[in-house]
Amino acid sequence: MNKKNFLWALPLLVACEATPEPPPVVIPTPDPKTPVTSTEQPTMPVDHPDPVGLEVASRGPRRLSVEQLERTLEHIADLPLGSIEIPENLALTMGKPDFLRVTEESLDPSPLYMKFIVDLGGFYCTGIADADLNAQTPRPENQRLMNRYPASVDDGLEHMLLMFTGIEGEDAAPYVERLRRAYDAGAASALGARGGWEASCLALFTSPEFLLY
Amino acid sequence: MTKLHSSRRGFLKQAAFGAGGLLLGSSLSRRALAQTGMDDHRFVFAYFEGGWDILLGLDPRGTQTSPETDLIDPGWGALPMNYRNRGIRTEGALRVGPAMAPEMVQHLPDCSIVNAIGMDTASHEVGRRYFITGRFPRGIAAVGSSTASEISAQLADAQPIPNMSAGVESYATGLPAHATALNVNGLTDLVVALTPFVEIDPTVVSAMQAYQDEAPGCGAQRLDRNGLASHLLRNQKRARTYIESRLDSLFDLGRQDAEMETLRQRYGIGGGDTTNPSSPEILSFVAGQALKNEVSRVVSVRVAQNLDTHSNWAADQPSRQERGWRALASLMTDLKATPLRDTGKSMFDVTTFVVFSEFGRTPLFNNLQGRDHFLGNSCLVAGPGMKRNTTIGQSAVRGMMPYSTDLDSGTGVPSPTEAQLSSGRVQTLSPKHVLATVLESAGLNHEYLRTEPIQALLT
Repeated sequence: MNKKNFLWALPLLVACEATPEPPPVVIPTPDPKTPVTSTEQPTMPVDHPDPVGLEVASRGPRRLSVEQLERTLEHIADLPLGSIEIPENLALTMGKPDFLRVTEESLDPSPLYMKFIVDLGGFYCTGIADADLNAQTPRPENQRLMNRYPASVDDGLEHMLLMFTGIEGEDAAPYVERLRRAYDAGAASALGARGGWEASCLALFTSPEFLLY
Repeated sequence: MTKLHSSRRGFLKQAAFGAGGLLLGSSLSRRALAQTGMDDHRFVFAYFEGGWDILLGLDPRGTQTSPETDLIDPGWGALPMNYRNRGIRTEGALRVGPAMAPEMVQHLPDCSIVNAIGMDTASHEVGRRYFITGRFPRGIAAVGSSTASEISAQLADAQPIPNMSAGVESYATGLPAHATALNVNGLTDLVVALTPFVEIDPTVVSAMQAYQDEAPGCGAQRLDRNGLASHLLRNQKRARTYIESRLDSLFDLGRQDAEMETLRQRYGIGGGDTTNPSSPEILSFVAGQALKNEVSRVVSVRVAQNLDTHSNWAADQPSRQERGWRALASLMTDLKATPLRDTGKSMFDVTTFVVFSEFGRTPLFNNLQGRDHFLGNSCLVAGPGMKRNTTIGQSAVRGMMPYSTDLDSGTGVPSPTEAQLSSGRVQTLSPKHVLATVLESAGLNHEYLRTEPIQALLT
């Protein structure tokens, strides 16, 4: 900016400084609102159940679905995907929908379901015992579910507990104690140590800690 | 590496279920209903699958009925000679058509008939589920629980399989665990359900059970927020009783003792299709054995199949319906022949029967000489608390549609007055009325049906 223009702008600057102040801005006070923590309930129709007491099904523990069971069993024993296929008719019995008559999976651990779980457990645990405890060609230790730590049965039981239920650390101690009793009782059978591992496997297979989540 | 597959160790082979397998409804113990103290009462729901022709059974018409003037064609001329010769049989207040087996006619003095039942549907699924639950389905989906399950929920949990369903759909929503039916399609299914099909060393099984019987660990307690873990553990013990009670021998038709030989003869099991595990004869046998041996107190059983005769009516409908009536008669005969401990009563005396189908068949023939689905229906009932040898309701003389029925007198009302209708005592009967009456007759709660029982049928 040259000197001539600067002089022309000077009186304008002075004039601006002389302008009176604008009126103060009034900020409206907000209306009081109903607090969001209100616990008032709307009036419900006659015979309507108490909304506070209604259970939210999705938040409670659930039973494993048939597909979850299949995939979980593969993971537990380090088996290839698709190794476990529960026969279709048996799967229907265990609650799987056929999408003809039944479109929603029944997740009730009914008596018949528990009966078949014992059968399925017998099949599964003897199969794993065949693979892990085979005298000639057992699976490598790091793939085994049973007898993973040959030097210590308790460590093996703790590993099995972890694989079936995810329970470890301090919580695992009382379970290992119980499992050891099952192991010892099973090992007293003609099957020997194999009977112990099968008994522990079946105990975990049929337990709520495994079947529910 | 060992690959586990379902076929291994004969798992699939031994689990050779019928086509439909075993289906279970779902339930959790959320409703506590009072026990009724009815220690001896039993229930049979006998189902005729496919839609029966009530002109041949429970609501017959004579030869004078004319298709032109009455819009009803009884079809006497088309029937095989043996049925034509039988004609309509009258047993006291009951009239039955030619498909009613003679063996069943003998039991009619102990039974009653409810005619003029409006089904409001011509769909198999809807009609069937309406009669099973007493509530009109939503679309084709059943609403609520089977009446059999509702009854089981109100009775004590004292039998190994309190509620058994042989070839009939079953539903249980929000009822205690013991109310859920054991659903089997046939004898094979039942035996598989009652028999362990994987061999496990007995010592190993004992070790497993000892583990199961110990107090649940902290993990199970955490999972018991809504009672599911406790429910599972209870059912685990119940599952053991299936096997430990050795129930399978009760249903072993291959047994060569005198008792089983008598039963084979009584139920007509001896060759041909009667040895099919899902045949009416075998399912009736299953029902009888379950009731007599305290295995179950509520049994649903499919006693007739393939009644959906849109064509070939004359050859198929009467013979198949008759076979169902004969199977039902065998069951009634067996229960009558079995004393109820030392009470002087027979098992039949403490058993309530509801015999039903999803709907009737049209009173006029279609162009294939068959009958299509009809909105009207009938059913047969028997049991303590209900009158014997009584006919309730009346279908129209012209066209057979259901007349309204006076609930107090049981008579049909062709043209109800405004006052009668507004009184609520004259209504078109529905499956709800029948089921409410059955529950009322047994002293059970039927409020959930929200309808009045047929007072005229109650003692």
